[in-house]
Amino acid sequence: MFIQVLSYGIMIGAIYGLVGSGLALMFGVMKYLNIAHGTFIMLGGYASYWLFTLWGLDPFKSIPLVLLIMFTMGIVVYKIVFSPLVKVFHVGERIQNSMLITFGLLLIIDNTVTWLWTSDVRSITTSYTGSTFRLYSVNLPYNSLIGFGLALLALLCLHLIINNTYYGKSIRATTQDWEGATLMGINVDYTYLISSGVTFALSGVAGIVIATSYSITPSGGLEWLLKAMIVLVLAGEGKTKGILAAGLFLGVVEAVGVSLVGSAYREVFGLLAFILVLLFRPQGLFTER
Amino acid sequence: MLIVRKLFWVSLNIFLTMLICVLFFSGCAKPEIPTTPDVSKSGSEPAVEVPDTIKIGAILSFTGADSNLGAQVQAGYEMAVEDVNKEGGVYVKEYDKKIPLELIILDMESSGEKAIARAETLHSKYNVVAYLGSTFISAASGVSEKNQVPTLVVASASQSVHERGYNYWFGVTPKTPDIAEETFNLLDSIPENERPTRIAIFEEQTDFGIEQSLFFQKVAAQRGYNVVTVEKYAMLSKDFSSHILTAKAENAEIILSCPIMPDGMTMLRQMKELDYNPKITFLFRAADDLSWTQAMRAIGDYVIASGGWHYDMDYPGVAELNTKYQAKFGRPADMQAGPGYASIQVLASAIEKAGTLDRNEIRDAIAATDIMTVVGPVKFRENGTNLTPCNAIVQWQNGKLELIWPPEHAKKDIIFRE
Repeated sequence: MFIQVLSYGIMIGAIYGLVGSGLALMFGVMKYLNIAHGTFIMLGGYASYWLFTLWGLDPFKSIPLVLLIMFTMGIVVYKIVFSPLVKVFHVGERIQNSMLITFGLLLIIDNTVTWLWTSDVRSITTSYTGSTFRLYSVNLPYNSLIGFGLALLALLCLHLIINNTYYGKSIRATTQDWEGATLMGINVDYTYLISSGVTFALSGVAGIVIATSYSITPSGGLEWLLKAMIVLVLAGEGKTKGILAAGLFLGVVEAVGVSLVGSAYREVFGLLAFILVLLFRPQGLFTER
Repeated sequence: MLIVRKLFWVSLNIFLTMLICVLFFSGCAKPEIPTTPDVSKSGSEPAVEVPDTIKIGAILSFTGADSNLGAQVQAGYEMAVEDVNKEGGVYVKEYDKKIPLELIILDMESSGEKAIARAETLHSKYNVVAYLGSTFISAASGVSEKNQVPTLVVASASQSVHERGYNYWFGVTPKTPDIAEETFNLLDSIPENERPTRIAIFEEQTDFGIEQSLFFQKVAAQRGYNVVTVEKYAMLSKDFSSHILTAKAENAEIILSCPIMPDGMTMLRQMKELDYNPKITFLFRAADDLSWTQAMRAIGDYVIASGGWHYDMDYPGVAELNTKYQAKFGRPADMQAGPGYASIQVLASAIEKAGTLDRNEIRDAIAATDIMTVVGPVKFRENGTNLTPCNAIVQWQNGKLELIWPPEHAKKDIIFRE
């Protein structure tokens, strides 16, 4: 039984990592704390849900289309909402202002989604939902396995892009010192623009995984935002490569806590780990200082 | 001559002083509200100002965990208000005329704190004659009592609120003891040789979840059922594997739980993933909504729900309500639409009986209610619970929500999951 519960912890941990990656990227590169991150995850889920419901498109086959939709949305939102914040030089002010702006954005989007598609709870149930792959005595659901694989793939791609491309180099430079990066000829505004698009695309993938394994509602993003924030703190600021490990750590801690004390205190274990890390390793588990 | 001049000036001063005083005090006095002459009455009595509408405050959730219920109840309220206003409104004897109802609906965002704030707003800003609401409105029960505003609630099954000695709190729909009794009445109706008896309870850690679980355990013990495990979980859980595996290991044949819809979906999916198929799965609350089958498809079949009403009930007005609902929303009436509609029926009847918009008089009239509504007869106990609540129990069968209980209304038999 413990192994089975642990397997669920690992699989949900990967989703936590995926959910946290977008928030970490935006915060690391742009120093924007996106309170509407969970809402954009829900939008990704809704995009996949409607493609599935209206056109019968399998949620995992709809990934390229959802990525495109969400990337474009990221570009548009950056141009309209985020770009004025670039003029705010002080990091603290930038974080505060981004929180205020994205909180407003969250309210607008939540209400618009409710108005457009009602507050009904939605979920994608496919022919393979509930089917499992049996490994010894452990049942591994296909949905969760695909979600796990997607999370790994998305974070691996992100890691490769950041470490092996010119755009990645500009991201690293901007993350370390955006003023210095500007002086070195890096187009910071363009880096921010693309980062916003990539952040939204990652949210889209997370939304698909959540819609197939759990459910989506207009206001359902808040719980995922909280998980993303915990993952962000556990991984350490600007450490996208530690995100998956932080997500898995959170998922496993919760699963072990459930096995020891019971499911009613699942959240308590995650939050306890969060507080302990803040107390003893405020720079995060995967950051050296 | 001098005396005359002095007298003149003294008189003039007194006159001017009096004039100034009169003008000053008349300016300070409350301005007189012009009243429309009442043509229906003759004589010199001043006419009473008639309000344009009777303001009713509704507190519902349109966002958050309970948002799926808010829209259902709202639809019921609005359709009932529409029907009442079509007839000109509610007759109020004090004004000797019919006055239309006006609904003021505020979103409590699935939060008890917000429910309290909304109740205060409806009282102080809109001066409503009554509160209506669902689910989290129970957090505002103290506000209802403090402000002396009669309150009619639906989809708010907490019995404990009714045990606090409140005078203004009335529940139209069944409470936790009613739900427990009726659930076991249904189980008892199954022939003894087929009847499952081993029960696992998944207990949501909320006031309502714990209370309902305790009543389930109490009635189960009274009726000879075996509760093999009570598994506790926090709302919006993402992993029920440990509960499911325990229930499976204990060979539980019945799952009893009252999760919110997202939890119910996760629970049922993971039950399938872990190859656990109890004969009967009660997911009260989660599976009440017609959107359950859209989201869960075949996996959602055979799940049993109990929201306290169904569009197949044989009560007067149900068929008409369902037809109108179908025309407006393109689907049969949702489970909480009926109780929402009935709340307005009860309130309109009470206002008419009270003959005034005085809240205390309306409260007394609600307490004395004895009428037939779309959810059946409504008559309140002293603690504000409905004496004969509509205890419909339904089951998802081939994507359709079928009425399986009570026997006098049931259209289908219960089906066990194979």
